[in-house]
Amino acid sequence: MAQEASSSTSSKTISLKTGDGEIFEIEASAAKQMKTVQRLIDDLGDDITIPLHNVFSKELPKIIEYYKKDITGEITKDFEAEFVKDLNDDEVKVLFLAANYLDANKLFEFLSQNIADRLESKSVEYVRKYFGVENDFTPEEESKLREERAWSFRGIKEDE
Amino acid sequence: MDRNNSVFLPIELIIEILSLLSVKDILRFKCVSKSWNTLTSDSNFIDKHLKASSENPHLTNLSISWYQRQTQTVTWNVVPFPVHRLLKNPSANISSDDFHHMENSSMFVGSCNGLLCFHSWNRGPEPPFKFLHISNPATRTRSQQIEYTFGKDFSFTFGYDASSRTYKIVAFRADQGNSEVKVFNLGDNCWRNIQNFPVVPYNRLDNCMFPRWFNNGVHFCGTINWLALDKSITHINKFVIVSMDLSTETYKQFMLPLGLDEMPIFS
Repeated sequence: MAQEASSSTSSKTISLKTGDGEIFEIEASAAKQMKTVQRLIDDLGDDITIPLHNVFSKELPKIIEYYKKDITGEITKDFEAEFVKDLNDDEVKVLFLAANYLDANKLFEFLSQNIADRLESKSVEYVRKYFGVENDFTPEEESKLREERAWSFRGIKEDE
Repeated sequence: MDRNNSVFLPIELIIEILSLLSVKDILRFKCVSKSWNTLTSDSNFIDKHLKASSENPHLTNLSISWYQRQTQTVTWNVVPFPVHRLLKNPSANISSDDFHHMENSSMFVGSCNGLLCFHSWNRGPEPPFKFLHISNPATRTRSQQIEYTFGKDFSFTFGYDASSRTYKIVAFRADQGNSEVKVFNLGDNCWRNIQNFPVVPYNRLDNCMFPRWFNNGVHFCGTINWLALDKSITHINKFVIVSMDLSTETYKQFMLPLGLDEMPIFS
């Protein structure tokens, strides 16, 4: 079969199928930024719809939006602020998990920093709730730890 | 903002996020649970956090130390200060809440990975008691007092050996033809004599030309480096660099670029 001119690969789109069966299109150059997707393309070919079992129709469009901006223009601080502005904690975590699964490095680093920013100066109780972690210290153990580092408890934000 | 919290992140991803937080936040979050307390003390996590903070301009801190002389007493203080704040605004206020007061008069020896090494002594009626100690202004902790009984013409340098993950203090004495080198590993309780310099670090041309601490050694990538004069290669005194590898505690010598290795002649 004759090879097509390589200039057409820049406008080539890849079809991605989410875990809940929906199909989305993405530019080949954006797909390259997600190493998991690229590996699947290398294995299965770029004409096949790539299955993404762990990513769903709720979050994939948002991820595609991020990488569309990445390949067509610069991702600015304003764009990033706007991108996460209306997302609640669970939504950010879901995107973060998806970026990890897709091995989408830029998005992963941006979201880890965003989550870190959301936790800055927050209380211990807030963080337990955020990550769903049980407190397994006895009251005595916990108050001893708090006393040892009393200075780190100063200037923390009020829980909402 | 609406907060439901039903999405759980696996521990490896939690660690990624924790490595981006400030030391103050991490120390507080040790109270979250027993496993968080353990994982934040793990040396792999600490290395990860150090690497991330050296790449994150928001977490790089400058340690500012100064002393205040008030009548008979001198108070020494250290405070970590975020570099990015200085870049935004060259003049800034520091809250006294953040100070780390030091009880003794101290000379700064060196810093490494955010740790500061001081050579301290207490003034008083009795002969001054001298010791070294290492402090971590970010966690507000300090090491035990490191005493030494070998004379007062020793100088000190502070460094880190990544291969054994040990912080080391090098004590050395360099006179005209004579030298001695000792090393203290943080965590040990004694000084060890090690191999002597192959070429003695340049001390001073005469008593007033260069101050004592001029050539205390520069710590760089697991080595400590001194300027020295060597006659053996060219039969003329030329400056060379004598470099001690902190993991093997052995030396290498480097020649300086042409033109920089000539010893200045003072009339």
